[in-house]
Amino acid sequence: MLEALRAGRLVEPEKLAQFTLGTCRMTVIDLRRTARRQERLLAEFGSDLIPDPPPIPQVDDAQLARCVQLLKERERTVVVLTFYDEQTAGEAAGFLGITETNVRVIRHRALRNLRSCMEATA
Amino acid sequence: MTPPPGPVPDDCPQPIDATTLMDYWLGALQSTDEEPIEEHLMGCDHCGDRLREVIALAEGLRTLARSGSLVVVISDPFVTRAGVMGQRVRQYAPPPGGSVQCTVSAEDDLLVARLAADLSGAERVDLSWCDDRGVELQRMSDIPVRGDTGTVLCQQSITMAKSSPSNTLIARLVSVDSAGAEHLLGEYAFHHTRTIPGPGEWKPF
Repeated sequence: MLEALRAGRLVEPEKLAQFTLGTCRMTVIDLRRTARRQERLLAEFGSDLIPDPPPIPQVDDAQLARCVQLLKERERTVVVLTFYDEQTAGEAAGFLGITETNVRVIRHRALRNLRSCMEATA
Repeated sequence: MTPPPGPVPDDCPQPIDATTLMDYWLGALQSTDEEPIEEHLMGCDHCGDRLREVIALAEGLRTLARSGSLVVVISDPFVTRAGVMGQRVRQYAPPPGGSVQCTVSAEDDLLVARLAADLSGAERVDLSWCDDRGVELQRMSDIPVRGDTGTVLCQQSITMAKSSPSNTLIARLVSVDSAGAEHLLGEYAFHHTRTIPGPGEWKPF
């Protein structure tokens, strides 16, 4: 169409605007129809396409509290400082007056003890 | 550790250990260490299941830490953050050898005792909680302290305090030397008055 227009070969050029408008209208209608079809299909089958993520396992909160209270004092402090608002090892190290590496060692030991305690009493 | 890259069978021959998974979840690993773990997790259902267990434990610990129900030595920045996060912190700071009248309300989230003492030179510090007759109810052995701060912040269980009848608790800070001998650093009395209705007497610990 554009090539014919540029070469002056277009028949009835006065109808060009009407033709362009009609083409755009049909394109928009087609896009809307496609979008509606996609929405309907997603509503109908979307849940089958996207599987639910596996559930997060449940922790016995009361038992966890008992196990935390059984930790050594430094371990319990590091656990609370770490998990209260995800404080870094560096921040905990500043309070405890030890190195970040030592904080990580204490945290690893505390978590290992917690897991053992939780498994032993499960 | 460096986990094996790419897809692995259900029974993972080189599972990522739980400690590394927790460090990964806490964002405590270097980015160069994270990449092989993520690559492994993408193809390993076994380690993915274990990561979910780690997440469950982390979430449980976060809830517990924020509940105010633990008896634990904490830091000043911790108390500051609790306030910033909108938690209502009730603090009492009796002087060494002194006492304080205290209570808790239903709206309080954390209960903190500020114990001032000269901690310099102490190898090990214990915090002993006693009843009004001096009978030890709980001993917190080898608590984390810094000699230069001169203060111990101990969070008491707000859950216990809210349901506790009126009573007196005595906190005793003692240093313990290498021979096991104790030296009193400070003694502090907390006279708790119940303001939340509840049942009669019970032992606080």
